[in-house]
Amino acid sequence: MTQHPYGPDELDLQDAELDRVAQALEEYATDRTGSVPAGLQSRIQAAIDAQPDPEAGWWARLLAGPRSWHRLGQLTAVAAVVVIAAVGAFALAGIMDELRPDVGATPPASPVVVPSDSPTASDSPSPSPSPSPTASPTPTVAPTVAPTPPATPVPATPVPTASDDDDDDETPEPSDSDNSGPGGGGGDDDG
Amino acid sequence: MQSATWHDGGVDDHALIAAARSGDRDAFGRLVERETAAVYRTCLRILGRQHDAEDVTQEAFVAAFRAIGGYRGEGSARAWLLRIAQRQAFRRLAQRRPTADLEAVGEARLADRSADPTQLVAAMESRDEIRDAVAALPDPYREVVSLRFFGELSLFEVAEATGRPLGTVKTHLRRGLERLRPIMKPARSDG
Repeated sequence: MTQHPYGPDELDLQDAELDRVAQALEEYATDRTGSVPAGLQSRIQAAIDAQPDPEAGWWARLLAGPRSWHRLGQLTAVAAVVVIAAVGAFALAGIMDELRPDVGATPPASPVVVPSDSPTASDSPSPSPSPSPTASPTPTVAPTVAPTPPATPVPATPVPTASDDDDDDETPEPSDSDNSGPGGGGGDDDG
Repeated sequence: MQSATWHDGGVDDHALIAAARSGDRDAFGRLVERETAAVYRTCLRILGRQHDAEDVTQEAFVAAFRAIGGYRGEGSARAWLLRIAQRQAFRRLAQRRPTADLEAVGEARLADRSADPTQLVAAMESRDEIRDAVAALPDPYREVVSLRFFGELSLFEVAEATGRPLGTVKTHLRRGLERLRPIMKPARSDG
């Protein structure tokens, strides 16, 4: 016996053949009423325990509480403000364009033709300057090792010592061309 | 608290489902205790083999646990579970390789030496035919026929679980039975 036995009036029509098929299905179901195997429930429970917590569906999150509705309202309000601001900006720009000729502060812009002496526009392309041979073969390979003058030996000139009779305090700097000897006649030309 | 409702003894489907949805695993465990037999029987009728029925029963409960966040509470929890279970069972049946189905005969009958082997084989073939015929039905008819006869749900419960109008469910049942009619011939009267 099944939980909801099939009745001939279930299909709202009288058909003995269909009733026979339905009863055959019911007999099959009654015949296959096995008891639950031992341990099946605990096995199922163990499998459930191994599962992570289920996630809420989108509709459940939507209906979760006022927080969701509050958030949704906030987003809607922000979107509405953005849309209104954009529409207002466009409308304001249109109004400004409408009002601008009425002010009369600026005459309507007329095209000013300035005669130019040199017609610049030409249909034919101007010939481009012929390529000038700019690349003169210049030897680029310069001897990198320039002959350096030999180091001129600096004559070991003794530092002139100031003599007692020398009134002038200036001591001439020794130069390369100065071949005079040490302390050579520094102040003789003074007259 | 939603979970307190079913703990306090007033065990109704919606309270159990709501508690399970909010993360109360004990509530889902109570659902497992209550509905394992119905789910197992339905799977056994579709599959015909005890081991397969056990596996699919477990899989159905795990699938239900995962999907509980999206369950809107339409219809009874049993109908919801049976709908999941029968889908899984037919899927398993489609994947199954054809093998000798001695298990479907039942150990008790096999051990009964007074049983006529030809009658056993005939009964086994008859059951296989019924199972195969229902499994071969197009989906809406198969679902209604299996929930009505293998799941032992009333047509009203089937309508609630599937979200279809009662008249549509009746039409699906009638068409399903009409398609089964040529396959499920009347019992042989030959001796």
